Amino acid sequence: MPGEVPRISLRVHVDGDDGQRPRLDAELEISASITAVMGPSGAGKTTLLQCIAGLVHPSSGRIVIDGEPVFDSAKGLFVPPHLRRVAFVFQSLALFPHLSVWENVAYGLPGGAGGARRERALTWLERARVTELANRVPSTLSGGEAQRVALARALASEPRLLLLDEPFSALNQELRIELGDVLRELLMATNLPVLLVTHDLADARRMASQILSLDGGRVVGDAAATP
Amino acid sequence: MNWQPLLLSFEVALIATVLAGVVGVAIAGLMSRARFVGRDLLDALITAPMVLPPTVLGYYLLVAIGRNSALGRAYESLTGSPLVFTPTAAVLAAFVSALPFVVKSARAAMEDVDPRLSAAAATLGASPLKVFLTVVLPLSRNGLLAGLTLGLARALGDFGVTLMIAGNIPGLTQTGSLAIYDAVQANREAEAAGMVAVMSAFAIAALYFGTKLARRRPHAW
Repeated sequence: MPGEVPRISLRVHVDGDDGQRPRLDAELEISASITAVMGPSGAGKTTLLQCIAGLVHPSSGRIVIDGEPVFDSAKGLFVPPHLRRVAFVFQSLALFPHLSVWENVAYGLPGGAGGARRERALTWLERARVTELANRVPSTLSGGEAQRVALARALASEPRLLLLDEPFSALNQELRIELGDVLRELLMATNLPVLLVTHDLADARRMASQILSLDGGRVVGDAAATP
Repeated sequence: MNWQPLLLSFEVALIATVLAGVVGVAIAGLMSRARFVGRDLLDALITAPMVLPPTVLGYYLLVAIGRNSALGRAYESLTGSPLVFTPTAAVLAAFVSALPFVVKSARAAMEDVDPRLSAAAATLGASPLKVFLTVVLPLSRNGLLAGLTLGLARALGDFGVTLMIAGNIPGLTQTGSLAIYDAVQANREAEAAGMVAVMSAFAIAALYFGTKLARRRPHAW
């Protein structure tokens, strides 16, 4: 939307492993609440998210989140991931296998220790409608359940940006739609921008208000999603 | 039977294993995470005690902590007594023998932890130290326990290094394995056999329970 201040603006270049084609060479601004990032595999979608989260060190460029530069190769600036407040839901979900569900959700809660952490974690589980899973361990969860827990954990860390890497890829159509609804509901109260990597156009259209296309590490299209 | 050398052995081995656990976890953590100059050299130095003849290792330690060495003099001025030929030197000998087992297994286990879990923890706001303590370490628990078990068994059985730097002073630095040697030399067959039985039983029990512990699921911790 014209005139709106972008929440994220970035220009990054990540060298390829072979020294030929870059893994990523993108320049973009994101202001919409949910932006879908699409493209074939190897297009640089995951690399883009990793750069924003600080999990990959770009070869050059600049990344600004909510007005704060978190990476600037010209100034030698690199804010490490734990100081960026950018939550990342991995394709594998990466739930901590040695912690219970509520401990997973409490892991990133800001603020000190104490008995209130469990209550706060339970509040997030309630919002994701999975309170009953609180004392289970991740290995006993179904795909859909694990997905909700991962979302709750990411949001509980009170990020200023949420990155989702193919979060629904392992789920069937029914669950995808249900989880899309849960996600929208969870986000409704917040003003949190979301970057959602997917290769499913239906997912992108249903969830996002803006769709970015990547190919060969470059942005090849930027369109408002058609409802 | 003379229990004193055996008790000294257990005491020395336990203290040395605890120390090797603390130092070994720190070194393994550093080596599994950071790429630094000299990492491979450090790895070789830490592994060396596994393959060096005990007399060679003992010789190095004797030079390093002897009464004329900087370390030896510093220790003597701090405590008022020399470090060599004391029970503390026996602990040092056992520590150096146990350390490579702890570092090797702990490092392998730490490198096995899914890097996405560490990355997820970082994006949730955890500092590298918090990631290490709350994700990497608990998930490497099995490998670490296996390393500690082997280290304990190795520490318990040390002969050569202990002899070189702690000596074979009955009642002071004579550990079980040294006492067995003395007993055999002096034809005290029954005494030797008794000590052999106790040390074997302890070592096998340590290995058995260590393996059992290490096989428990991580989240049962």
